[in-house]
Amino acid sequence: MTAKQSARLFASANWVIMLAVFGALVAAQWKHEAIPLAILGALLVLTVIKARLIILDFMGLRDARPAMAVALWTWPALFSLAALGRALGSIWLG
Amino acid sequence: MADVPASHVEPVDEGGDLLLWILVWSELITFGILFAGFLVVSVFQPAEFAAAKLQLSTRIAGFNTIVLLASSWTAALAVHAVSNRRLQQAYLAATAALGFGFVAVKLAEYAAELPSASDPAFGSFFELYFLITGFHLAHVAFLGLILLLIAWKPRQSNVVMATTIWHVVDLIWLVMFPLLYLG
Repeated sequence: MTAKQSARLFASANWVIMLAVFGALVAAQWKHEAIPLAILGALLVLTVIKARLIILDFMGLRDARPAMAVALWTWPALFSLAALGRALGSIWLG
Repeated sequence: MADVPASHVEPVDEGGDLLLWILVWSELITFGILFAGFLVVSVFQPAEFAAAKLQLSTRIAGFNTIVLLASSWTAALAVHAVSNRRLQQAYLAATAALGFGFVAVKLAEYAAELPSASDPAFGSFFELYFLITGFHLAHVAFLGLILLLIAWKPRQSNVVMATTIWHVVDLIWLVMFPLLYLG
């Protein structure tokens, strides 16, 4: 592993862990009560960002297989959108 | 012969590369179907699912997210520690240990949730919840054992394959957490 790759992996790991801690702390504020839609949306955005860092740097696909990285990234993005859509739907449709 | 630009060089197939990606996408498709089923049923039972989610502990799930992400980091470090066998073994063992930590916390969480599981007021939520999270938990436990076996006599192709699947299991949990606990 080159020094650049090592630094990038360390930086990504820091970001992923920090985002996870932040997300966990935010989610923990709503113990036994429904999370507001805006907060859910923000947590889903964090999920997609964490997924992207894992795919690119933890799995090492940033330089090796960019097309596979994009394809993999669509999976968490799709289900995050679906989760947000379901939450929006439940509000609009009652 | 003229030099081939780096961007035109095919990635080196370390053996079993196609099999690895077939396995990765099989996992994603399987869990994708389970998530889609969960979302569809939640549309038909919105009140039951909303009530059931309040029985879950987002604190425990959030903590477990951090544990699993930390294990993904040590898995990534194991792949790059190819020149230092001892270090690679240590990273693989640490990954497995964090995975078993995740399993222990999840089992403790299950123990607290079981009394609510049979309540008809929550519709089909807990059946789907235990099916999806249990299937994921089985993956973590099984892969933890595989990582320990690989750590015993590490070969780089095995390390790459097992850690790639480990990252995928981590990705699945990242999506599962907001979908099942929060959404």
